[in-house]
Amino acid sequence: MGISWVLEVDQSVKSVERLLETNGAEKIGPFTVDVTPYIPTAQHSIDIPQNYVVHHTKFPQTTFSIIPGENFKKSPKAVCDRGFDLILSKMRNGTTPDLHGKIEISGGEYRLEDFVVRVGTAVQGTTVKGIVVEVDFEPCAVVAQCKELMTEFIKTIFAKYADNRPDIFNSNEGPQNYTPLDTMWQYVTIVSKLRKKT
Amino acid sequence: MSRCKIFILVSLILKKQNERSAMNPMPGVSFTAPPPPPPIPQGVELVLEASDQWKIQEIGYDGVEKYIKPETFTDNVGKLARKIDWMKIVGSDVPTNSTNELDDENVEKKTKPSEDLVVPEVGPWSFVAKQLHESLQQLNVLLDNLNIAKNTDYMKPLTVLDPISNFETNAEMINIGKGTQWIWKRRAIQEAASVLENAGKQRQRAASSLGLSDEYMSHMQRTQFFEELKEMRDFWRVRKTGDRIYGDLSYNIFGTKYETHTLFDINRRNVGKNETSNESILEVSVPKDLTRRTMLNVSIIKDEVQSGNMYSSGNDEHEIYLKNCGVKEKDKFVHWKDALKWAQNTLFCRDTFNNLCKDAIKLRNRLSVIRDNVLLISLFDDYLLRVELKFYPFEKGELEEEGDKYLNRILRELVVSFECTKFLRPQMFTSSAITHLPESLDMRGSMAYSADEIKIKAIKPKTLLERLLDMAGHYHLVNLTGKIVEKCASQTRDPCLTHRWVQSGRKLSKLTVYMSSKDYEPVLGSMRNAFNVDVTTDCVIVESKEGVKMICHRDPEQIMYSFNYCVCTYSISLISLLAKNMWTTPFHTLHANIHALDDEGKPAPNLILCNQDATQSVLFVFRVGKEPEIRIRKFVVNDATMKPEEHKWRKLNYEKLAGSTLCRKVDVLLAFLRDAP
Repeated sequence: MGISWVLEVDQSVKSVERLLETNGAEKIGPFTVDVTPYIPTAQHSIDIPQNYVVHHTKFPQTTFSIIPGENFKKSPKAVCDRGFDLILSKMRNGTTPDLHGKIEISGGEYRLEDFVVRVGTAVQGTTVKGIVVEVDFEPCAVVAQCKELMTEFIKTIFAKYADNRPDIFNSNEGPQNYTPLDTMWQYVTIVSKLRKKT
Repeated sequence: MSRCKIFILVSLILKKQNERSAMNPMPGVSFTAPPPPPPIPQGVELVLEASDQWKIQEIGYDGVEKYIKPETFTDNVGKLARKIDWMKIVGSDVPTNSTNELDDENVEKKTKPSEDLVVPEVGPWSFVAKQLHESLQQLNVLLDNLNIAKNTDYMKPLTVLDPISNFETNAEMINIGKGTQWIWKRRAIQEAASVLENAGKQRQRAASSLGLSDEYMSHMQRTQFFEELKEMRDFWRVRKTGDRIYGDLSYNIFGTKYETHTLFDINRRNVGKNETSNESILEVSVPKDLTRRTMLNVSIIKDEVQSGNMYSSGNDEHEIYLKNCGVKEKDKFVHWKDALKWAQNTLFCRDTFNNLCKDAIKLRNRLSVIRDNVLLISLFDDYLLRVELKFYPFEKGELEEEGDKYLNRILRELVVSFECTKFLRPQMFTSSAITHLPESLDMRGSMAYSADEIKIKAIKPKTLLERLLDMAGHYHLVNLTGKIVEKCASQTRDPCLTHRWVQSGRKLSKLTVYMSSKDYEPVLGSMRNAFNVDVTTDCVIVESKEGVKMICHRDPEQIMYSFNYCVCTYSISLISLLAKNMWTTPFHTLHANIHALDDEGKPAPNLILCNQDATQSVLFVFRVGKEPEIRIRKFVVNDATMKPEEHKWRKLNYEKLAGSTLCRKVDVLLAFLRDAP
């Protein structure tokens, strides 16, 4: 339920929030997204690839795991319940969480009719890496049906980012359901870009 | 000895010398007289030696003596330690770690970093970790044993063939056990044999003495008793404690059973010798407050003056049973099958009524009154739901079912299904804790349900009374709608209304009403001719064929009005199709408005047709619930303004038009107007 467009913005959180409030949005609560890379240990660096474990407050009982590959289709991904984190902690000998590389995006959620906009600061350790905004259009589940509407929405609020659409918006493969993993993939791509920034 | 010998030799020599000298004194040789011999000693010969010598183990062929070294202190301790049976003292289930009692008081306990040894609290691997930890402990014990055996003398490993003392005691016990087992078996078989002998004798006597002896009678009674008890056990929970046999009247499946207030005693009835009645030999004593028959009646009544007294049901006899609850007629025999069934039903009805009253008190937004075993709670508008607990004497006989049959059954079914529902269920996938969440939420993690979805899917339990009210409200509305549809169908002859219940549920029902015009179906073709009615627990919604939803709440007049409105819109479509399809020179529709309103603001769909020659125009106005209005006028276009002139409409008398139905009348009218100048 819901199609998300995640983007990184240059403005500050306050300015984005003011922009949304002037457009009539109401704050409905906080949100947090955290992306933790899991690094394989020295002996297993060949067999076990690096994977990202994502949590999102919109899906409170779920853990997402993505091994980033060339594109969305070729990356192994999984959706599991929160027990996955405990299972991973048992496999400490094979893969360990990189707590320094963990990026947490936290901020507030705003509702504007059918749109939910989440504005958060991306923080790695104690350094702020950037501002990430997620625009979630709740009623729709098929990208082809609402990508124009979402582009228009982004144009009105964040004009300069409207051209840089996520890959799934540009695919012409026919009506497929949008899954929460697509949102997490967008977060992982953005987070890996943020990590390279200082 | 040697000295003696020397002495004796010396003395002999001297003696001989003396003898010689005495006998033959030699000239010139003079000897001094030899000294006198010393005196011979008296007493015991003593020899002194050291007594503490190491024992000689062996003497080698080369004369070397090997001694047995005496035992040191540690050797002694080792020898004693080997004699002790450690397992008896320590026990097999004590952990091998040293406990607090054995440590010195002054030694500080070092707290080890516990990261490696902590068993994880949750997770599927905790059991595995525990097992691994235990096996590690066992290995440590083994290692310690090997160390001790190798390095010290305190333990010596036995070989395989060494006899272990345990075996001997086991063998003894087995021997004893076998003997006693045989004795027990023989005793048991002897008892069984005596019982069979007894039974055999009884049967012989019965066969010979035509079965009227005392013993035979008591035997028959006993058999009958056990057979009836077996029958009772098929349906009721029966238990025996000591001498007392009792059963349980409670109807719950999960929960405590055999509570004191629901127990009934089972005894054997004292039957006279010559009584050969067919009545049961089991006597059942049911709790006093349950010795009456009960009915729980549910009905919907209107809160108005004509309802009369809503509390009492007008029957004075049963009032006795409200006050005195006791089995007055003890001489009347009630078979235990009936007695138990009635008693349990009374318990069930009483508990249900109490639950409903408790729920009624909790529902703050609905007014309710409880009096005289009657619960009145407001349903909606002027209607009340009435639940009555009615008592009857504890006798056989048909009880008249009062109240509404459907509602009575629904109430019973709700309570029974609640009793049968298990609210805690174990997780099937891994042996995790039991959960009270509904099955629909099991996949909430792996299907990535959002927080809103989880909230929606979590079932919130509704109280018994709330569910009953929903169902009663729906039932009432369904009856109401059915009556109105039938009334409407009987009133409206043209078009003809038929209806069908498409969906019939406890809280939602759907009705489709079809409108048809006789003899004109082929003309109409595939025109939509049905409208739907949705009935929920507190509302009736009529949806016309155009998709217009009319929320009629619970007003019967409004529902009737909506039905008639649907008929009007149908008529408009009907006439316009007729005008088009029936004629090779069809009439044209100049104007049609389904949503038109009349002067009073009420819906009045209308339609204006014009003939092919554009000389006459006809106006049809359908007011809801009234007969159609038909007006005609000349259709003249003003040459100057190029617009149709507004002439006066002439109203036609609908009744006097030729034809029995609307379709025929319109047919005839259009036939006239087709060629009118």
